[in-house]
Amino acid sequence: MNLVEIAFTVVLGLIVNEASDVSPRMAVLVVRLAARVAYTTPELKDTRTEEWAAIVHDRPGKLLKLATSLGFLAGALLRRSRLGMAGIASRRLHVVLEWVARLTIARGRRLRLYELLLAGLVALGYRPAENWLARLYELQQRFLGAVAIYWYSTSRHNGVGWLRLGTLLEMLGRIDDAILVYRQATATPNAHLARAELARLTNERAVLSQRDQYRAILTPVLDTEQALLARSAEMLSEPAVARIIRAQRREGVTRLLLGEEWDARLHCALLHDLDGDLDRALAACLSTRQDVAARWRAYELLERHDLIPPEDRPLLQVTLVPHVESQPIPYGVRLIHTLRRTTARDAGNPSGVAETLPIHAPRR
Amino acid sequence: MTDPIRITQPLLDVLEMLILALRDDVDVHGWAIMKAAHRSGPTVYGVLDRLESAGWVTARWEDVPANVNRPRRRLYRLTATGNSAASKLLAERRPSRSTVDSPLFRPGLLGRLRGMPRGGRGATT
Repeated sequence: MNLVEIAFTVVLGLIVNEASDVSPRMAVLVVRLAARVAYTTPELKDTRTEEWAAIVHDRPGKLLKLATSLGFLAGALLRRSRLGMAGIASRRLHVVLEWVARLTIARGRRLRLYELLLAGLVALGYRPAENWLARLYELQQRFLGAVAIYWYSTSRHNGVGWLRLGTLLEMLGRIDDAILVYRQATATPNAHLARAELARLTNERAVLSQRDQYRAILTPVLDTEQALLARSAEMLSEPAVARIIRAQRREGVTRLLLGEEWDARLHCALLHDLDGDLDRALAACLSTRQDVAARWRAYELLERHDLIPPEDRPLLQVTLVPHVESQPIPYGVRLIHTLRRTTARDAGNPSGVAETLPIHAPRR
Repeated sequence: MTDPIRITQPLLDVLEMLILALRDDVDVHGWAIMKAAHRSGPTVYGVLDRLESAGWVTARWEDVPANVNRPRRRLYRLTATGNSAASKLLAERRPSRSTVDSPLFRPGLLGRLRGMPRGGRGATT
């Protein structure tokens, strides 16, 4: 070891020693800076400075104190940048939208392939940042325009992109442009959805049949359900531990989707019933997890088709009345009224009032 | 009082932690919440900002004796309205997760909580 190496080692040791001694003081300065960056009100800046300094003080080790303070600073910078980026994204988005609108809608013509690709590439740039920020801040940030254009560029064939773009334009207050877009979408396989949107915007709801209206409402719900099923299948193919972790993380979303599932199935039942397919309607009803609501709907279907045996009506009535009284769901109330009337009619009381009803033992 | 606008998983985690602390008559500081909720500082303080502005949480400085030379901690506690609203919210959003199943009931974390200052006494741990 020569003299230079010895000197270097000594100096380096001194620097490391000094740095570790100084780092607690630096940590306090860093959290002060972090509070200044993260908050705008002076009171909150002072409060958080002292509070975070206490947290840093409690951390063991000198370097760990500094690392903790740097963590606060990173969070503060990201918090500030999130606000800034949202503004930038918004401005860029308007530029993109104007560009798309100028190229297509204003001239009243369809997009060409290269235009779609360009719009898609621009939109793709937003998605990673959006996902990253959403994970970081647990926000439901949706740069709606970017998503819309992304769909616009990738889902042209089924018309979903047109619909998304129409929604976006509608939100931006450009109703005439939105109507133009929806009209273009009537040439796609999702024409019924486009017609529904058109009818809504132009107050022509009467032109739609009831079935089209139901389909328009139902399709997004069914899309959600299919996404849930796909995700369930994906999760089932993973190792058990990973599955549990993922399930925990996605608890909120899954719960939301599960909440929509039974509703989707009941809508399915309604649609099957409109199609005259009673068997599938009943199957859709009874496949839900919402036992009471689904069974009411199933009984209502059976009753409408006069398929409930007379001897079962009193039993149904006695079984369902307490539920209806505790949860007055409209079709439950309707069903009870119908059952009472038909039971009274069967009992030879055409006034429709049945005071006392025989209770049959449940049939196994 | 206004409700916190965004209901997120970190918010529910922090509320669980605060309810547990209130049940034990303990005021908790930010670091304890971060540890128990397994959330980062910016996330937890973002939630605390929202809860404070909504009136669900009240904060106070701990009492540090004059001879102790260190920064004061800031202690958080659910208000009465915050407690009822948070309980209702958790019952709606996490009905399947009983308090006993909560990760906050892990012995280490609970032990940490129990070592924290009691409300109204301003401890100097």
